[in-house]
Amino acid sequence: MAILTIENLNFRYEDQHVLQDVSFWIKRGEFVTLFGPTGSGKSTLLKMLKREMRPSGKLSGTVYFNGEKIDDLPTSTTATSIGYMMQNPDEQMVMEKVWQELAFGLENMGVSTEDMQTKVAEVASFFGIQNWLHDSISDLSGGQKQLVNLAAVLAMEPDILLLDEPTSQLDPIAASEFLTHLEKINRELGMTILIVEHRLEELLPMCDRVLFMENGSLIYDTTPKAIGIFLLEHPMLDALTTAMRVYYKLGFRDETPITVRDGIDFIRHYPPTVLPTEPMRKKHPPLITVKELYFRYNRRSDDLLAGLTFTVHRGEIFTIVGGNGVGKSSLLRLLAGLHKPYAGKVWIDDVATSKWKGNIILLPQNPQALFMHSTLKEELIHAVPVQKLPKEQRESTVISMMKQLHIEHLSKRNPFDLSGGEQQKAALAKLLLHKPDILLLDEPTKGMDFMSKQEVMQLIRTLQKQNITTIIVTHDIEFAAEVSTRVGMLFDKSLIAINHPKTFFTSNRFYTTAASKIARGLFPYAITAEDIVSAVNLNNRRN
Amino acid sequence: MSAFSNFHPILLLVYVTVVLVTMFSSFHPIIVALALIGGILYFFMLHGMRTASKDVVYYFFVFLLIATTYPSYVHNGFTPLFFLNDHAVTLEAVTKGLVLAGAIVATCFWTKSYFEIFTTNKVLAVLTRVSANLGILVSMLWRFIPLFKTKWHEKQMAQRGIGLYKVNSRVEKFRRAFALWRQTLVQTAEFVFVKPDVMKARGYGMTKARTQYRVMRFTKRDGMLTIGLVLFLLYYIGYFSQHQTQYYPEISEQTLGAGHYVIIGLLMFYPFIYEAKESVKWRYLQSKI
Amino acid sequence: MKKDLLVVAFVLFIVGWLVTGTKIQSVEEYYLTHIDEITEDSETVTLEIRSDTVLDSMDKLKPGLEKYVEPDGEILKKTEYVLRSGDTAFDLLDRATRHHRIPMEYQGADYNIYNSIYIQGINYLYEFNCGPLSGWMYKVNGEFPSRGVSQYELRDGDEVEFHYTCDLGRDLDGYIRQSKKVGN
Repeated sequence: MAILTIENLNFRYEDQHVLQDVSFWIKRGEFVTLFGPTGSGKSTLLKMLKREMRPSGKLSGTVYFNGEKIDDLPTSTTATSIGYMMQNPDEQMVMEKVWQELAFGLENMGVSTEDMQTKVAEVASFFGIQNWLHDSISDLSGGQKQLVNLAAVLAMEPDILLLDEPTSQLDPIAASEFLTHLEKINRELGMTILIVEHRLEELLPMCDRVLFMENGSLIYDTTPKAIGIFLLEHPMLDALTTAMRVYYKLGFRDETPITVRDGIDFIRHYPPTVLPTEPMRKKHPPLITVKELYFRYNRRSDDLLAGLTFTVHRGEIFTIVGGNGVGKSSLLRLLAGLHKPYAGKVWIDDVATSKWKGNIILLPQNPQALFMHSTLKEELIHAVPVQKLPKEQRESTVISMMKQLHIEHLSKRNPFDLSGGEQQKAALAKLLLHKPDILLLDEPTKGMDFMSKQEVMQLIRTLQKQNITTIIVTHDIEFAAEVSTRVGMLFDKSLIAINHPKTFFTSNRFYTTAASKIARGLFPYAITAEDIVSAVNLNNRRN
Repeated sequence: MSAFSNFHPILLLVYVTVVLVTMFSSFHPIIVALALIGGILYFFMLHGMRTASKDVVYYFFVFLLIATTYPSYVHNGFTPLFFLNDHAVTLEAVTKGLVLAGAIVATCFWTKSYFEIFTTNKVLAVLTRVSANLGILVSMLWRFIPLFKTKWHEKQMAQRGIGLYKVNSRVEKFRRAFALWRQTLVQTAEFVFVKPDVMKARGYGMTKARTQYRVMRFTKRDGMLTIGLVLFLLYYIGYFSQHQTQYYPEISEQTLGAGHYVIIGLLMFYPFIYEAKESVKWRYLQSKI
Repeated sequence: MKKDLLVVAFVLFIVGWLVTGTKIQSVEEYYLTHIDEITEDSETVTLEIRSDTVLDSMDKLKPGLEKYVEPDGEILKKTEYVLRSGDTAFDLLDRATRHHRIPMEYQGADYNIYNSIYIQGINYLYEFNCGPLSGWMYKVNGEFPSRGVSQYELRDGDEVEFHYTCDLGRDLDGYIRQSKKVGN
């Protein structure tokens, strides 16, 4: 029986058709992924299913929940039976402590104290929250916050779970952990799940059905195995898992592999090949030299960075990867001169950071912190460097910048209402207006869909041609593999294994890209799906 | 976790009202001093020596500022100490300045402590029964200041990262900081005002019979203490409405006996004493193991 | 941020202090005023300060002030002073109160919209101490001038009186509707 049926849903906001004639249904116990390019109306569709979250606008069509019209249901049913999770974990939280957050919904339902304690205990143990039950919400990491949100929603025992890009603010490790939890509640509890996500590498292997949306319409409603066939000519093909991309790009059309394991099985039929390594490019003189750097937040805390030494050359795209809380963001702030090391120094062109004439610009981990105005255009026009230009040039400068990042259609939107990936691009646009010489990016691809990532990559490469040096801190190893000229891993207070990305990721066994895992032992130095495809093609040509 | 904060929220509210009302209605130097010291001691208990001493230093300067500004603008009083620009700086005005500064700083410390212990769930526990919407409103306002602080810190860092303050003119620097401050205020407000929808989406307000995970039962002890506090308050309000300390032209004679100071002192120090007692008890139990 | 605000407040305080001046006098220095001796050809004026109205409105008086109210209503009995050239009613009051060590507090001309010094209190008796309509007023030769105390230039033989009123002057002799409080 269908738990949720959507019939001819249309939604208009001002003159914009956000949703057009969307119809589908979801069976009890299904795990459904909804994806599509940014701005296709996925999040809006999800909001239509949760009455309390509906934005204002003109809505037509019907949503049936358990066979009844959702608009006729009492508040008590819609608020508790339909669990909803938002992108930004902070927006969803209302209390100060973890246990309060977990109990909040149950308290609202008027569940008796004894029952409530059992339920909270159960859900906390299920997600392993019990050890930090009494922590303050503000002390939690993003991943922990989303886990608490998930647990709080589940404590109310909903019939269906709607999730709006729940991992977009999380690093990849926390994100996979979160998705694993979702799989667990689907498999073990039979929870019906509808999730909007970009991160398909982990999600496709676990879900039963895939919905694909574009321009407000639901275009494909199919299974993970079949979706690839529909997207062969579509740029979103690259959003699928690495194994699928390799499979389709090599021209196969039958039973696609989805997981890394399937991918290895599939690729094993090919003979090994060594990809020719690119000739080492001539190195520019060193631009940033970090020598024996020591840093800690205050006198009593432990060293966060110790004896850190490395150099970055002009025009490099240097990527720093590493786990949570190892000090990656602090290192960027040190380079930007926002923190002071207690020993050691950062030299830029042989002078101290503060005395260097060039422009060092930092993209913070939370791009929202950069926004100060109510529309994107104002945001950019009021950027300090634009204000210094003569009046007539301002508009054109801003517009060309928006075009470069493909965000001109968002110019009238409030930067805070944009999706995670759009916010990143908006923040990047603002940074680039400052004409940086050194660009420091803290998690630039957080919340971005595949296409946006490609755009950012293009942009960074363009900047490289203008001799702008970029230092990126990221968890996104696929991105690091494609974009960087060198990669280093921050581990145990210091940067280790600084190397060319092909060498770096090939020599790693666990901390590496899906493509590298698939190609392991067969095609050394293949670290992206494209690398594997070209390795196979190279082989075919040779034979 | 503070032991004192485990009292019923209504009792906590009555308590702080009694402390502040007694202090302001008497305006008596000794009582203000007791309230100030009591507030600071409890603040130390909550935050520990290190963090709390930073705030104490900061508020010492606030105290100094108020205490010096006041007598340089008010010249009433029987005993001139010296004349500043042909205006008398009097003993009475200096005393009142000190007491005023003490009362303001004491209020700051008590409020700060209460922001810590009076969590949203307590606000909701007290107010939901009265009105669900009032509960939302107050809990929103309650969250505003801490949220603003976090956002401000984050924004400062982000804007420094794109060189917002890299200008030579101090005035320009200040102007930009102010613009940022204003924006942060607006954005915090916007963020806070989304919360009602979120709370409703999570079922808040659908039934008045809201239950509690951690039961805050209003026990007999709470009732007795509340009645005691209210009686205390009524007695001293009655007394001080007749005998509020007058500073002009001469500081009025204090007719309150030493016993009263002890009682009021006990009241003002109660959270500190209670907290200290609990930790001593704990240590004692530890040492017996 | 919090710290910055505090620093700004301190700076404002110090600047304010420097702008208004930093003349510090001991009590003795302040009261050391020279009163010219009256000779035959010197021009003179008289000054009298009274607070009779309070005696009729003791119920309205702020508690604690009772013992500072003169029982006969006379704070300064009618006394003759030498008129210095350019003396205003305020100059006379200032000199006389200093001489007799009667505390007097005023608001400088810069602080109000009337561009005149405003008398806030004399002998511990302040405006609003005896009901919301109370304050100090002055008369010259029996009439309430429509100018502020520091704008009224005195002439030979003027008789100046300062009176405390508890009812905007309606409780004083010679009150006419148009007149206003001292300094207004």
